[in-house]
Amino acid sequence: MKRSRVLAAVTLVILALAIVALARVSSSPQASSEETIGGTITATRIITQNARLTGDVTCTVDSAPCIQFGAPGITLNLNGFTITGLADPSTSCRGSRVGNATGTFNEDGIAAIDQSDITVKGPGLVQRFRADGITLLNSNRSLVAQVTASTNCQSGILVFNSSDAHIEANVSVRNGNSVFPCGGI
Amino acid sequence: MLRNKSSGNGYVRAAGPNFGVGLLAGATDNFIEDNVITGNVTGIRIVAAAVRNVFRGNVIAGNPPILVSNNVPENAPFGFDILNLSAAGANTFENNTCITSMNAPCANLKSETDVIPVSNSVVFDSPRARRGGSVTATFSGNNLTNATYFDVRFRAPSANADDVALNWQQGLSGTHPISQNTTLGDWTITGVRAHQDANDHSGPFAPVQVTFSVFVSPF
Repeated sequence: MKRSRVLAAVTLVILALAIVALARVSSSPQASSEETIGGTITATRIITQNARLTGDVTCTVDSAPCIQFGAPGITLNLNGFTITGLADPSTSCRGSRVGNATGTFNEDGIAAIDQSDITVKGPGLVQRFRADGITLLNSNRSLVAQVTASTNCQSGILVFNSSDAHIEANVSVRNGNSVFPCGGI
Repeated sequence: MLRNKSSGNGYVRAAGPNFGVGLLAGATDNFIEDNVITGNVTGIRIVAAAVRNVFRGNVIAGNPPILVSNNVPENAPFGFDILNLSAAGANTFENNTCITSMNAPCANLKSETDVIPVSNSVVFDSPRARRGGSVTATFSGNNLTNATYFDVRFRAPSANADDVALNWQQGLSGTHPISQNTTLGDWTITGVRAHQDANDHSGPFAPVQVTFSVFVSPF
């Protein structure tokens, strides 16, 4: 009698554990939604969830960012691809620049303005933008890692009026102009 | 900023240069560490209002490239690996490898032993000096400057042991008056010690043997 009670208790426990496990499986989060980006961008692409490049991107956006963060706490994964703007491949802007100093209307490759906790993840190349390759403006706790920024008409990576930015393992080359204090990072 | 590479950036600007890495107005409490910054018109530019930033273990060299140095002379006031326009002590610099800098230290590229001052010779302008006159001593050796201090170990006339004069001279060459009560006879310098810190007398004496005589002039 006592043995059967023990057996029943063990069975109940196993059953309860199985139910809990099933519940967890059935409610396990779906792979978080992630938008994909590739091809030609003609108007600023505002991302509000994690995004991943699935191919090289050519930007023809004039006087505005190519890709802009529209929500905090999300990641743009360049996934090894290239984002290319409108500047000249060898002379960039011939020492000039496009846009104003606030960044709002700048023709940046990637812009985070008034955001927080965003990530730009490489490897990947951001090149030939007539402003900054990547701009972090009024944005805190950002991470930019393993990105190459080249031949942009302002800075490769600009961090302005932002705190706790982590700029790590990036390469910034051949950026700048003769009008505005700017450069690699 | 950690482990980034920034090269070949910037244009020469009359109002101030572009840069490989720029700490502009409002840049505070940043760590710039283990980056490689080469071939930019200015390596790291730190404006006056940038404070409490720490620069540690970066390699900053070749800023600007030799072509810019030669062909764009107007960049000369900005052509440094580190151009620090902030107040002394406003930012911290530790173990950065650089060659040219303004208001920022570069870690020694030479091994420490190469920059320790060493003196192994001293000569007097005359082997004899009269009471009331003077004698000029000139030291030579390695890594000596006019800021270098020299201790000497010497043997006074008729003395049985050496004595030591600390900081007997600063600079490679110096004139020493011979007072009227100086003991007459041969004074022999038996060792010299060069040092940069006036209070550091810890190094060994290099042995020398140089004598001058103090005499009374009949005139």
